[in-house]
Amino acid sequence: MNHSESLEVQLENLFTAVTDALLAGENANPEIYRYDLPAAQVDPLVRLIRRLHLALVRQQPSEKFVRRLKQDLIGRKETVFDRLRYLPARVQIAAAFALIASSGVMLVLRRRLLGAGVEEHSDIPVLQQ
Amino acid sequence: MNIFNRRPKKPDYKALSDTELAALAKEDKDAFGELYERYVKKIYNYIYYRTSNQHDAEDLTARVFYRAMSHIDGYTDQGVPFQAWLYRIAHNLVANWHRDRGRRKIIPLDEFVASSLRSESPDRHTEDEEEREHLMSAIRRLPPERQQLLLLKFVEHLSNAEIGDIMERTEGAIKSLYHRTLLALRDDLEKQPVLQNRPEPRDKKKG
Repeated sequence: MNHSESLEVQLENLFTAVTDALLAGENANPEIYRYDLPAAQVDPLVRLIRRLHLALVRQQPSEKFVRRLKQDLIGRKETVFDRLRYLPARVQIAAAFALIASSGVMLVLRRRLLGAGVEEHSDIPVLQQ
Repeated sequence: MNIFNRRPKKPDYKALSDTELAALAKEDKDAFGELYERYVKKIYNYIYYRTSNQHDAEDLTARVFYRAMSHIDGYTDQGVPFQAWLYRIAHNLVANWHRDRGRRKIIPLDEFVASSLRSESPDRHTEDEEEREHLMSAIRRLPPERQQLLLLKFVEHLSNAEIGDIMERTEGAIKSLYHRTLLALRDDLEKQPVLQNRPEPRDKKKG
């Protein structure tokens, strides 16, 4: 491998390393210093890589589109439980707690209402006497 | 009647690999549903940047998954990961789309996207939109395989090895292609001043 080929390979390695560092949210400068290649060949492309990193960002498809397409593909409507499956674990736990808490409240309310009904019913004979 | 005779429990799809899911998906639509969840956003992104508009990106994304579902019987992981297989379908459909419509080059990004880019982070907010459009136009002027490489790298954050699987090249070849792509893009940007790159208003009728 002659000198120019070696420089070519080093540049390829450097630009890949700089890109990987940026995409990982890390500082790319240590890679640039480590390779120590001619600034005239490095700097313009590193600037370009930084511009690409800023310009090419992920887009989110609409949730409605994603849900509808899945429904069309697998042929059944997604239930609340299906949607919960794809939420992060802590959201699932929070949802479970909310469900338990609301069930508890419903139970207490039901008992109170039924209890009140029984008390009213038991009052009637006393009043009649 | 046996009331304890329940249906067999479904596997934990989340714990399965793509290859296992693809094998199950031949008979189990829910397994395909899990693959769909894993890749729908990636495929949408890839197509979005190749078509530059939301409507066509949604349409082609739907076609990719319909085609994948109808061909899943023939898929076996013989050195081609499921992800690579799916991207190849997307790549072919996008290539057909460009060929059919004969409009490979300049279509401004939707305002919808421009606003979502601005809201992504405060840093993005300050970046010059004109500069961005200049860069996007230069990317669209690149040959399709180079556009594909940039999108897989910057939007999907795939490694050179993963990109190699999709583009049927070695990791070293991808590294080299990436360098050449950067050089070509730099040269193109130097040749095209920012102001010349503004898209012409479309559908302007002559009076």
